[in-house]
Amino acid sequence: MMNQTSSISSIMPLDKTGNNYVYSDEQLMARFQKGDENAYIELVNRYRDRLLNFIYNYIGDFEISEDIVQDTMVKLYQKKHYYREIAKFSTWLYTIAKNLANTEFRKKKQRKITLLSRISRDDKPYDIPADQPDTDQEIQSDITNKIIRKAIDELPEKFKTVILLRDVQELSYEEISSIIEVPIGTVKSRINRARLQLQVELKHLRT
Amino acid sequence: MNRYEFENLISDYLDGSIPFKKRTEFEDYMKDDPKAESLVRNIKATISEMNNLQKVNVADNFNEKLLSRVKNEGIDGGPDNTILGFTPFYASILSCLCVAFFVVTSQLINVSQDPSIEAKTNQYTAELEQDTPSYSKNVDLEKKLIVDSNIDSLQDKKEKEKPNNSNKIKFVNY
Repeated sequence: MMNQTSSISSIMPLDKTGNNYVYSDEQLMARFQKGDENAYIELVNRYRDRLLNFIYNYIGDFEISEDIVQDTMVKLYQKKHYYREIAKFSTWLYTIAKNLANTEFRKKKQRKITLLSRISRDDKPYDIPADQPDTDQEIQSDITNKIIRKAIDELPEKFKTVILLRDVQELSYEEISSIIEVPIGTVKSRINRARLQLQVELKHLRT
Repeated sequence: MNRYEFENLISDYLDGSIPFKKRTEFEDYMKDDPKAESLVRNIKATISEMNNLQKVNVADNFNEKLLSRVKNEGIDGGPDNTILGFTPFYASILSCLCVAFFVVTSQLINVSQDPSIEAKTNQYTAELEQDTPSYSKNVDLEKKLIVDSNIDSLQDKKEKEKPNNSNKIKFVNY
């Protein structure tokens, strides 16, 4: 199954040249559908970290998130023949990842486990000594990250998905619309409401 | 512009997709309300912070684990084992239903073409035809009875309407 990899990798330059990819995602997918395993590895390399960040911000657990990315990539392998070039590859892959993450998120909700539950508003960096200028900024940034993640985590599921796809993953409205299967107008409205709700959650951060 | 309209337009304003006229109104609203301006500024800052959220990376052995999983679990990258797009389970149910449909249909067709049934049908039709005169006789008799009873009732009525002379004085001309 994977024995083609070594022979093809010597022929095809699949890596980046400068800022651009030699092959688009869709071209790689077409190659993969024809049996080119090297194209699969290239797609995995392109998307593994992006998906991990999306899922990690969604679920809040690194190990579970990595497992979900693995599952997404396995599904990509299994379901490669279902992909049609009418859809953008990234949209298709994000949809798979989002569905897997949703399933996990619901399981997690049932278990009532919250990774960031230990971060309370009282845990702000006030107990960090001020005489550490080199690390202070890093710690501040780390705390801000955690507070923002917690605020995102507290958003309703439908707001959380759109805000992560738009403001963290920086996808277009059209792509988000395809991934979550709602009209663009609804996506825009949800993003706006999610941003407003985040301000309520982050009020203490700004004061 | 009211607060509701203003809040609805924040994302459009930040995306730069707000129409010119609305943009002016939006900016005028912010000038008049410092809290509104602060809200837009905070949203902008939050978006920027979310863009710069600490990135996480997969473990170094991610690809290795993935490829071994693909290899060891014997995941087949080929098209799924389906029959006309149905899984074997649903395909078998569907084929059973199709067979049942054809069996029932063929039974119905055979019944309609069975000579014994046709003979029985003809016999029944003949019997019906034979019964028809007696039936019509009965009908005629019934009609006759109705007519007779009508005549009787009419006669009774006439008789009733006839002046009863029994109690009247008879004038006799001599």
